[in-house]
Amino acid sequence: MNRFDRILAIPLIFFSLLVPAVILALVTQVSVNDLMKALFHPETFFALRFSLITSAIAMTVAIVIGIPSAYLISRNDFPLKGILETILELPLVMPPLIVGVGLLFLLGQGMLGEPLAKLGVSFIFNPAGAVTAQAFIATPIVMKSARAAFSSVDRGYEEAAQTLGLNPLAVFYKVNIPLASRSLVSGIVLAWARTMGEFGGTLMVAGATRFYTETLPIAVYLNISSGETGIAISCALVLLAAAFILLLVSRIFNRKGTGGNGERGAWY
Amino acid sequence: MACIRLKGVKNRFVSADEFFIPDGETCAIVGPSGAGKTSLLRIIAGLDKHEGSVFIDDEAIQDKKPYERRTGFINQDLYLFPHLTLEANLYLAMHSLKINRVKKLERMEELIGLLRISHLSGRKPDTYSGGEKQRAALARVLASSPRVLLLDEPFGKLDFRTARYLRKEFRNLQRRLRLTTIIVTHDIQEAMELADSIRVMQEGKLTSSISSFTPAGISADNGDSFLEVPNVIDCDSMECYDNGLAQVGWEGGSLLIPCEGETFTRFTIGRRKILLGIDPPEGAPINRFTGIIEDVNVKDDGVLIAVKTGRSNLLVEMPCDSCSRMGLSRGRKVHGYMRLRDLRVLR
Repeated sequence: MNRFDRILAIPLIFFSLLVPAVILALVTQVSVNDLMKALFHPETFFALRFSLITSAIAMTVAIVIGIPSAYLISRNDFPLKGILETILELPLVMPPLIVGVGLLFLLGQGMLGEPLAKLGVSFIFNPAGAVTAQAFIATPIVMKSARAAFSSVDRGYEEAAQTLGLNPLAVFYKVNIPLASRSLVSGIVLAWARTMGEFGGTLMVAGATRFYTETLPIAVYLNISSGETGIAISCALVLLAAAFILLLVSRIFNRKGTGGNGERGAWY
Repeated sequence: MACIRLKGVKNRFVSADEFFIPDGETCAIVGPSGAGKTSLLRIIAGLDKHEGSVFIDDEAIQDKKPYERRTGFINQDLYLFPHLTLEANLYLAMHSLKINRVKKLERMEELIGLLRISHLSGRKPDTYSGGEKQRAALARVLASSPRVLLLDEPFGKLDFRTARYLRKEFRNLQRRLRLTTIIVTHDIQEAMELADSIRVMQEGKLTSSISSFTPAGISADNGDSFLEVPNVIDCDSMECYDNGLAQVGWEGGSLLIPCEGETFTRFTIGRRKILLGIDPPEGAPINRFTGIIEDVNVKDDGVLIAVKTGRSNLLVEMPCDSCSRMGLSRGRKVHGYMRLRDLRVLR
């Protein structure tokens, strides 16, 4: 390592220490006994289960909307494509709180609220609201990573498949999806991690009601507000553990190739 | 079995008023890079937009999608699906065939046997050699039951030995299958070896056809200066050995030629592949000849020298500075050398 590398290492070491320091600061706020109690508290369990269920539904919605849209955009050129792509990416840089306020006005008493209410459908201050906010945040992430994934697949494979007699649907799910799968899964996992930690949008649209719309971040917020530090920290640690596992999965998928090195496997 | 006919086909890169390949025939399209050869194949395969009509037999296919045309197109990059094993690649190619699973498996086994790639079973394409990839791609395209074959520079990325072997295999396969085929290549020797007819393409237009595989025939039909038309030489005698070589009698001497056991009476060598000198070349006395220069023509990109060796007339191209350095002129005696790898058997 030369002198320049040693200088570059200073910020790296600083941040590498800061991340575990933050986690350590969280853990040391409560005794081990209190932490264990809080971890097995019904509220922590509810928040974990609620977060997993809502984020899983939100991710399903994000995948169903995001992947076909990304495929369509990556495979076609049309007027104002750049503007459309910018609009679709806007939620990525919008503060989630603003997203939540926008959804609240759109789905509450605003433009879509009344027609939906007449149909007996409501997305405000209920679990469906949490799913809506999470899906709105996750969809652009899935779409952006899927667009990059599909663009990286050589069009030659698609053309080869077409001349072999595969129709566009078969080309999509038998050629393009498998060839892009590594990047697709990686993007989906990252979006899921982001969805699990979503707070601002969920707070605005679903509200913060204990044992009803209580995701893990909402549980942290509610319990810090009411001085229940143990439950707040246990929920934060569960959230961190989930994020860590998802990031690890994402890294594994990034490292694993689609081609395989002569591996044998089922083929039909 | 099917014939191919193009009528008034036109797009940014190609303009083909009339083009016809009879049923079961192999046609090679030769021309320089950027001539539009690949574009012509892509038009027939339905991958590029165009004006005009494309017929397979009497059926107009220009409005059909690529997956409805049944034109087996092999790109020079092959595009074997990297996530699938050999069997899965072949099975996927049969996706649109209206036959049951058992028939598909039988067809797959038959093709794997025909192309002799059973050792690739269960393996993915990144573990194949260049020649194995080529054979797998051919098996896959045949699995899709195409009416015609479109091959874009099929042996362009292979080493000399593998390409030679596969050309022979392809010829044998064509004899069996009699599939109407278009081969795009920039190597006229390859075209002469594989095709029943040759068309020349330049600046998007099919300019001429080479109807006779002799230097005189080529010269008469083809005035395209870009094309390195090879010398076609008649053998006096021929004896084939087991080691992939044949000894042919020529001009009182003998030459060694790469050969895969087939009988032949003619062989080719490119104009730029014949090496000329004033003194006898060093090294083993194999594939040497002597001749007299009959003519020296200065062209834009070099010198074209006509050399008379007994009964044969050879055309040799070389850079101007090499020619003037050696002082080559009409009536001068020269020594020549033909490298083994540059000699090709003409079927």
